[in-house]
Amino acid sequence: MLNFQFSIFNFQFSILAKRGCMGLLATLALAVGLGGIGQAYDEVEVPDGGTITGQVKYVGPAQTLAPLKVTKDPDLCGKEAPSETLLISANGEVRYAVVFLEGISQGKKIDRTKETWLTQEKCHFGPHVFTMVKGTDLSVKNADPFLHNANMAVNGIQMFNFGQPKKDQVIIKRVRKTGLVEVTCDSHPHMEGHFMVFDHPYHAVTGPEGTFTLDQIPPGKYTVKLWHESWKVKGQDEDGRPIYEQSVVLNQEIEVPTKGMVRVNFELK
Amino acid sequence: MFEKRKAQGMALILISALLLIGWGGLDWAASEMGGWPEGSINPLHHPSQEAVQELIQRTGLKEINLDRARELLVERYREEGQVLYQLNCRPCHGVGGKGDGPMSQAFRPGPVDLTAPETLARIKEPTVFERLAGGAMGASTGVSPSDAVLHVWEKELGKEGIWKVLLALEELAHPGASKEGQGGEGKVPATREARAAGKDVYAKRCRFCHGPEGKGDGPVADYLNPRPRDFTRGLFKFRTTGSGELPTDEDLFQTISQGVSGTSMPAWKGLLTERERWEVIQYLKSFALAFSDPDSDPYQAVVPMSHPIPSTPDSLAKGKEIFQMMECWQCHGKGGKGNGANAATLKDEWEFPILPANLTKGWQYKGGHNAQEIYLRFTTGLNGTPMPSYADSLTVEERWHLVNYVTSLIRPERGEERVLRPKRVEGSLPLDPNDPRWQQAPALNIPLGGQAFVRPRWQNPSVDQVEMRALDNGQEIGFRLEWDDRFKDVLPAEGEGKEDGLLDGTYARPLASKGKKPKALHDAVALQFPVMVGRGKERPPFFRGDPRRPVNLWIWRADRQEDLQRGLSIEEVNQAGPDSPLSPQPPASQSVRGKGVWEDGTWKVVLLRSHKTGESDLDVQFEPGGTIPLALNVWDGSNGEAGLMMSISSWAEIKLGIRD
Repeated sequence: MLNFQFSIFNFQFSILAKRGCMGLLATLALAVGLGGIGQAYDEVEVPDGGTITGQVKYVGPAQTLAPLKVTKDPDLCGKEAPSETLLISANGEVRYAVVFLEGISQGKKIDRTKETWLTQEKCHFGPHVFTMVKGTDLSVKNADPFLHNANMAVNGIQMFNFGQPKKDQVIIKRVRKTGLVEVTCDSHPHMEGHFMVFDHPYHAVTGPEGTFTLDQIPPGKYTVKLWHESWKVKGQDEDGRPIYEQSVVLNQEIEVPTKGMVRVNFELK
Repeated sequence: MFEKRKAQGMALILISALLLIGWGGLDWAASEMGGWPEGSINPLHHPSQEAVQELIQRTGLKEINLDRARELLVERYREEGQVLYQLNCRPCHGVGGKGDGPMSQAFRPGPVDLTAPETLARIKEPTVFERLAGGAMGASTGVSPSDAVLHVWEKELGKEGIWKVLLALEELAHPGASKEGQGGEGKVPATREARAAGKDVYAKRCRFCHGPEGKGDGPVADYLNPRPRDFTRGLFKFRTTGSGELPTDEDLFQTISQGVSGTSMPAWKGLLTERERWEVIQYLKSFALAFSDPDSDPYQAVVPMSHPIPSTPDSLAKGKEIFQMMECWQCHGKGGKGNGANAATLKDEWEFPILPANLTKGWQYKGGHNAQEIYLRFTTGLNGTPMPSYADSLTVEERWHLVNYVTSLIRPERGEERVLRPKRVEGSLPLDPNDPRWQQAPALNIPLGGQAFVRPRWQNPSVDQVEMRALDNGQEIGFRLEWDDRFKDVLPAEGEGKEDGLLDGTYARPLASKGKKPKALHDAVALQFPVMVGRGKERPPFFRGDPRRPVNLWIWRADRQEDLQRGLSIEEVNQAGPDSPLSPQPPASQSVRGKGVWEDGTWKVVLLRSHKTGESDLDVQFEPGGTIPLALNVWDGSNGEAGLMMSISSWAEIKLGIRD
């Protein structure tokens, strides 16, 4: 049977929470969960692999978070931006949660041809949440006619910070670290995005219906993890934008059968 | 006439000579060698039986013998003395006592170099104690006592605190304590021995600011803005490596050796041997995990360096265009004064507020301002800050054009000139600060530092220089004061950072130490003159005078100019010492006129008054041919400055023309 386990990371790092994001250093510990530290991933044939599929649902009264105040470039970006921190469908399905296998050391081949894009358009990072594989390229585009800077911190430590002043300029960076990356723009403090970098291919972001699928998994026992940036407001920054609690991380222990399928659902509450 | 001029010239030479002597000229030098601690009268060398017993009780060291316990106690006093020194004395005298603290540039004469052979090494211990306890104001000979800055510390530290500081300074009283110039054998390999040696250097020199575990949380950290670096995240601003990469050992060596301009990080070149600097690098790299990760090898990430392009008009024009296109002004402002639209909201990676550099002040370029250094900043970005890399947006050649343009924004370094000479003009004096006649008067740049005399002392002043010009039409004298200020602050709120226990130390802590932006108050400036000037009149202590020698202040306040309902925008007041109340003059005596304008990160304020007021008991009188001391106080509201938290200057002088 499925074994539900709540473990909201709550580390004793004394750090001020990032604008509307989680405490950065807490993600250091999460990095271990991503299988990124001291462990290599071997790509092998997986002829008898199984599949994990499931859905993430929100339990409790539906809610829509207040829009974020925009303080610069209102002509193009408006005065408010809708919050993407908690997106729930009418049926309670949660978008933008990351589901991944913890610490998997061998499995299917990594598709290195897949392109990963992050676009800054109308002062918005899109997509709001995505995943990618270490050693592949991230293409960052500025579709706006003014300066953005994509300031990225992996596990709380700045990884890249580049200015992107020209419209339609694309900057391509090879990502060489694993972990949770927070993306901000110092020119537009309301902008934020998140992505996770893995050294294996077993990760997915939930779509509008809250669903995800991980396939071609070598049979065996695994820990499936869910990450969500958290929507629980614990304060406000000086411009009145919400500051959220640390990320929500959930675990489930499962067994993937040979050529079979296992269903894993998560509940956020 | 000739006689008079000659006499004035002589007086000037004499004054200049006295200024040159500086504090070193104070009557400190004793006839015999100090030589303490041998023969030291410091009572803390001989702790009482009770104190030793108490230590044994407190620490539970029952087995310890009394002599050892006594030694431990003295060590403990010395440690406390070191912290007291770093908290209270370092802002002027510097981390290592060389008289090179972050505020040392502001005052004339500058703070004494405690490591020089003619200071602590030659002065008897009781004399040093007296000076610290009672201050150097009113010292008997040497420079004019009014120019000495050392203040009365007994009130703050008590006798015991002062003895603790002296215990900590004993090393400096030994001739030859300075290690300048030693070493030079080059980089030290990363051995266990090097790390251990580096750890000792760190414990002796670095931990007071950077903390025992490298977290940037030493006892001094909360008093500094910007804060000392937290080494644990491996984020370093000044590198030859790409954005987000670690620094090379050579990068760290460069930063440690030359210090970080405009901050409390001193140049360690004269304080640590070359070998010690390399050793401490091996130790501080142990604070961040990344340094032991072979994937993060900084030497793989070094950016290529090329040759500068000559700064021709063509290159400058291209650089200017690039400055526009790259939108450098979004943070640094159109004129480069660090006042762009983003300036108010920027935060560093620790979520502390951070301000974009004022590119016109070369002495505030944290990573240095030679062409290569500026080139590296665009290329690599400043890790841990919002300053991004433009390596993907600019070609190498474009970056060099931008270097040339940015360099052209740098104004001349602050000079030593201390005399303001008004330009004689005909007709009424211009009230408008932008009137072109002001530009025809010679400029005097007056350096300022934090107010370090009475609580709340302040070591994070925003305004470090004011440019003054003066015009004189024979009846009236006019001054124009111009200084850089990123934000126009016109809120009336009074407040001296009184929240959150920021004032419980001898110095006030900046609100930034709590990750908060100070509430914007209002900007203001005060011109200060002695009430009485003239032959035989000793000038007052430069910070607000004393009961015997009161001062006359002309205070201009931005909030009141914005809304005259709030009171006089320019007010003449008197004060007789910083501890005494400010006494505004009666309405009938208010005769200074003026106006301030703020444009693109610059305040310009004009103050005009007739030479004579008929109230020589309250007002300075401008006699033709006279030399009149003048000092400044400046407040930057958005830096949390109000009341006694402000920038101050020591005395400069106005040399008035002789009536024709």
